[in-house]
Amino acid sequence: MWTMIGIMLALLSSLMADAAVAAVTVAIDPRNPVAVVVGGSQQFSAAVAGTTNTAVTWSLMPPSGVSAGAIGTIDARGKYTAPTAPLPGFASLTVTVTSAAQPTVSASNTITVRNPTPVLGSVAPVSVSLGAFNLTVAGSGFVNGARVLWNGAPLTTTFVSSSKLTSTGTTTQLGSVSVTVANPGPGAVSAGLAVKVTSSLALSISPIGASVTPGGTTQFQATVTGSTNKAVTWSVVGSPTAGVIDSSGVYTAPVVPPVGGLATVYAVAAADGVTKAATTISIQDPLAITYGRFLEQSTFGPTPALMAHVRQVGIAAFFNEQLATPESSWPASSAATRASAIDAFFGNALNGADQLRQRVIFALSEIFVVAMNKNTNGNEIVPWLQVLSRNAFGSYRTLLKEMTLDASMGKYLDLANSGVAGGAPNENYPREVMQLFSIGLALLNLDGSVQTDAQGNSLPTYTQTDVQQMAKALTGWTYSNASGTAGTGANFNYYPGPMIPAPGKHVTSAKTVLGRAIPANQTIQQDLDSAIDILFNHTNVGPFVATRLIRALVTSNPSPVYIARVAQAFNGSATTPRGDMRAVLAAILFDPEARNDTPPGTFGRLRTPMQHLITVARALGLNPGAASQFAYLFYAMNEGLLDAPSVFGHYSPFFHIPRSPLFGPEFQIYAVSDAVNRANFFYALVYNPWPINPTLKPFVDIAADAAALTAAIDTALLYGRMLPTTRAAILASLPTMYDNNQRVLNAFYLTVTSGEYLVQH
Amino acid sequence: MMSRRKFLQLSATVGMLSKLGGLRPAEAASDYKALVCLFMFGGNDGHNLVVPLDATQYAAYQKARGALALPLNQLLPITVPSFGSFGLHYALPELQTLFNNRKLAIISNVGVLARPTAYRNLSDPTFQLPSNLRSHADQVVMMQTGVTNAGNGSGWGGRTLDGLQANNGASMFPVSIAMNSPAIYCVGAVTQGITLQPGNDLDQNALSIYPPAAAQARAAAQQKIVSAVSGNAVIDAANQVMNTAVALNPILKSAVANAALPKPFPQTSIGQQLLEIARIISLNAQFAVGRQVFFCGLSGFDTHGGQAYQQWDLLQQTSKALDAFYAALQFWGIDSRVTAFTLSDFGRTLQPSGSGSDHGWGNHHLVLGGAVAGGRIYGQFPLMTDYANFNALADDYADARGTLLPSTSLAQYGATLARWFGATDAQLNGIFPPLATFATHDLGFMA
Repeated sequence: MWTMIGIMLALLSSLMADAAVAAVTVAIDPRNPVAVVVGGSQQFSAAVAGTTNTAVTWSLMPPSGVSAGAIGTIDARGKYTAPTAPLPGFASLTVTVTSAAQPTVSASNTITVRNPTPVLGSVAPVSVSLGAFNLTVAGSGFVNGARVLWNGAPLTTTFVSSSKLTSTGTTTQLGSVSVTVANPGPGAVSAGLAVKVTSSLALSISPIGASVTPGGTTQFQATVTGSTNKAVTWSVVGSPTAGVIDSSGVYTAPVVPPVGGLATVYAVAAADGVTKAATTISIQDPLAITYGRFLEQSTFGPTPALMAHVRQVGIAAFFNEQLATPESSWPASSAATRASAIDAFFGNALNGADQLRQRVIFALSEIFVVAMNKNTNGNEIVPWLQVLSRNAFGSYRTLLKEMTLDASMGKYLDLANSGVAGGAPNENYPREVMQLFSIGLALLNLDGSVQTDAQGNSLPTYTQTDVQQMAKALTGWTYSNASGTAGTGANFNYYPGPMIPAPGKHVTSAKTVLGRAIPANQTIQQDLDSAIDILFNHTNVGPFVATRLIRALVTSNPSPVYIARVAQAFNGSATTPRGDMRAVLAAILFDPEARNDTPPGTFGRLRTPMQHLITVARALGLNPGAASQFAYLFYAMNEGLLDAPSVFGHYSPFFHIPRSPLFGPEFQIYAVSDAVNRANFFYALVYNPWPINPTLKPFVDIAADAAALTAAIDTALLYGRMLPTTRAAILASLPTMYDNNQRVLNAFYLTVTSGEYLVQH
Repeated sequence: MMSRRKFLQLSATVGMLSKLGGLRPAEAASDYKALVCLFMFGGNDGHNLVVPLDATQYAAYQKARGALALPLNQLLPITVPSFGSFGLHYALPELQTLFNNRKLAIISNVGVLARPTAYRNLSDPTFQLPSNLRSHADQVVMMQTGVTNAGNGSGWGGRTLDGLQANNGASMFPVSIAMNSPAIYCVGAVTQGITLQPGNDLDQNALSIYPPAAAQARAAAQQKIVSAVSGNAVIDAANQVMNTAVALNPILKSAVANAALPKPFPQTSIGQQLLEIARIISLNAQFAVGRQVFFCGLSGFDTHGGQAYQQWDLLQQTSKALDAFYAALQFWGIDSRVTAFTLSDFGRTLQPSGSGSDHGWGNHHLVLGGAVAGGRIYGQFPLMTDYANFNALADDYADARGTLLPSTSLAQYGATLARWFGATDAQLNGIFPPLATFATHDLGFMA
């Protein structure tokens, strides 16, 4: 019974096979060509499909011209055993597996018999000189025809034994070379051993650690030993912007030094064209501190090019140039957005050619405050900036008057439509124009000291009655409009152009402001001029403006005599009108107290975040991008751009350094959280894009030399004044840094967040 | 598992603690107290904070306020012994509950006064009035300094701490802390105000680097730089700020960041400020701090227009944040050691101007805490007025627009808080120069 079933199945199977010949397949594994070392083996397997009879037969076929006896053997289970020698010419044999069920169906692969992989034991010598050399290589598994490879390239090689080779070659390249051994044929290369190529020549450069003035020259000498050919070829990395060097070794520094002030000089020995030596030279301006300090006080900080320019023309000529430099542009007030206003304010400060004007605008913006928390859109802010910009070098009287009529200010301090729409005259602007823009709260002496009564109480400059009287004098101004005409009531908010009189809305009664009479029935313009004259001519304005501008530009704690000298300049002379900002700025910036390059221990002022950022960016050539994109970060540093929290600005001019008798207005926005937020801001600035801002690459290039790196940063940011404690601390921390990028980040972070960089001094 | 970096941080903490000296983390401060000022910047309209529900008074209120009047059925009723019925702004349901639980008190018609002031005094040019009334800039400062003219360099929170230094022993932990930006309230003659930001533990990103040895070396270098003596006092002062930040960093990080809270703090600015304050308060025993003052605030109360929504929004934020704050203190069992109170630039005119109101003077304020004799209104609540005839009413108003003439001075309000805090009578007169001119120095709202 079972036999019969078996026969039937066999028949069936046979019938099926006949019926479906194409269905039987055979596959070989591995199916890609294989290399088998001499005497080695390789297991193959077969997969038969389409039949229950999976039996196969294995066979080998030699390549043309090779005898079947020289190609190895394969057993019934597919295990191939290679011969003891490669086939001639490393020709491949073929392995075939054939279906027993269907002998016409087979699969094949190819086999190459290769030499064994040599093992490298040692190379002698481990160090060779430039030029011709001999090597002896010891190891195992070498076969006749093996070659020694020199960085992958074959050398002339002699086979001594399976454990020894000798070879010869020539080299022109200094440094480490990988030596390997390759047996003939494929896939038989040893691991490598290093051989060092040295020069028999020695080359040194002198002087080392030289410094040179911008545009100056230095003679370098090269000493070649080990050859009769003493000639060298000189070069400068980054020439010509990093300087040039002639064939006799005379280096000429660039007039505008590279950032960090370092250049690298190379000499290459002509004897071998390879041996070289390098040294860095520091391009130091002996007057860097002098020019740098002046530019810190009069601009948003030096760039290398601006330092070079001032070096060339001198500070006095630079100041006069700046007075004549055209204003940077502002967005049209009708079209300005918050972003465009911020970008112009920040961008002009960063890149404007009118640096002195921009610095004065910045100072005035903390005196005559308008802020985005009330004037929410850019068109409500830009007119105010334009008033500051236009009048930065003009008359303080014009500034006061234009500011009073400015539509931005009209909104911010509510003078717009005061008295126009009924109700009492608005006291907001009338109070602040006295307290904050002109005379302050207490009567001052010329040197800024407060006048007091017999009991030591300060004498107030004005009373509430003065505020009310001033408010009446300033009634009747409304916003302009496209046609510049006032209607019967209050015009809608409109910012392009100053406010205009609203007929019949002015309080025409007589006023007395600060003890001076304004007669009845003057026109609104006449009352405005009277009011401005009373303020402008008050004896407080000189010391008031002098104190604020000195604090904003030069130092938080000027001496009384310094204030008095500037106040006197404000008060004018036979040749200079009262309130001439050009004279005031000259008096501030050229005063001996400002120009003393070794100032007393109370001198200086803390940089605000915006000033800090721009000063770093200008010194290093960093591009922080559009300020509107990162303006939000300034709120965490308490300096919302164009957005002071109150009419007092971001900080009070009367703020004291904590627990100190010294003034330090900007310390009001440098609390512990501000300090950390600012430090984190600057860290992100220098590491973005990770791992380091590409602008800092010149520093990365020298970062392996800790002293050079620290010196370059000192030159770039501190004009070589870095305190010994700071320098020592940075130097001590550098060796632990992960790589050269981290070394640069480390040195920058520690410098930029240090007190000596935070404080303009 | 403790990472190497975590271990380093802890080591640094221990190092800092020993350096700061005298800190006894295990020892509880047995008589801890904190004063928390919540400043409503811009001048909160107190006329709509609490409204009389007495039929006559409500009718007068409704007439005087016009479009600003809150509908009767929206006001949240509170019952006040001896004062009658009042309603809180409908944004304040949490504060209504706290009032009814006697944890919240209302101090009515408080303002800066140089001395007791009657309406007739206002027209007397020789009478001493606070300078620059109705000016934001000045009044924000005066409410904090407690001095009625400008130019003072310290605040009453800081001055109160000046006299209580012994309570803080040798602890170098900050005792006078403003949120987000410096507040003169926190500055004393010897007390240094510290400004912190919610959630900002003063971590420097540049100190989180690999390998740990590099982070340590960078931190060590910074420590050397910021503690060096440069010969320039301004440079040294700038370094001192970072030096303080470096010292505070591990201390702040050691605060239990996720201490169990009975209810979450709102994700608003004021909510997060009060959360940070609560977090710092929770450290008092660890750092043996005995007395702390805090300052936080929210802006936007200068509602010249669009007041209805704006004030609702700000008040509901305030109510929810104070509720979470009090709940946390109560949960921790220290609610009787912490008193929160409001200040604001000034009150506003009863008479509206369009959809808002203008700068005024006197204002109603809130005091919250376990030590508050709550559920009551203190001071003299002004009668609602037809402001055109306001002269007829006894000194409640200062002008024809319904500006409140304060019947209680800031000095009395502050002195009551400072006395609870521990200030002596002699100290109170120094902290609040006008106080001596007032008969009552303690308004009685602190139990």
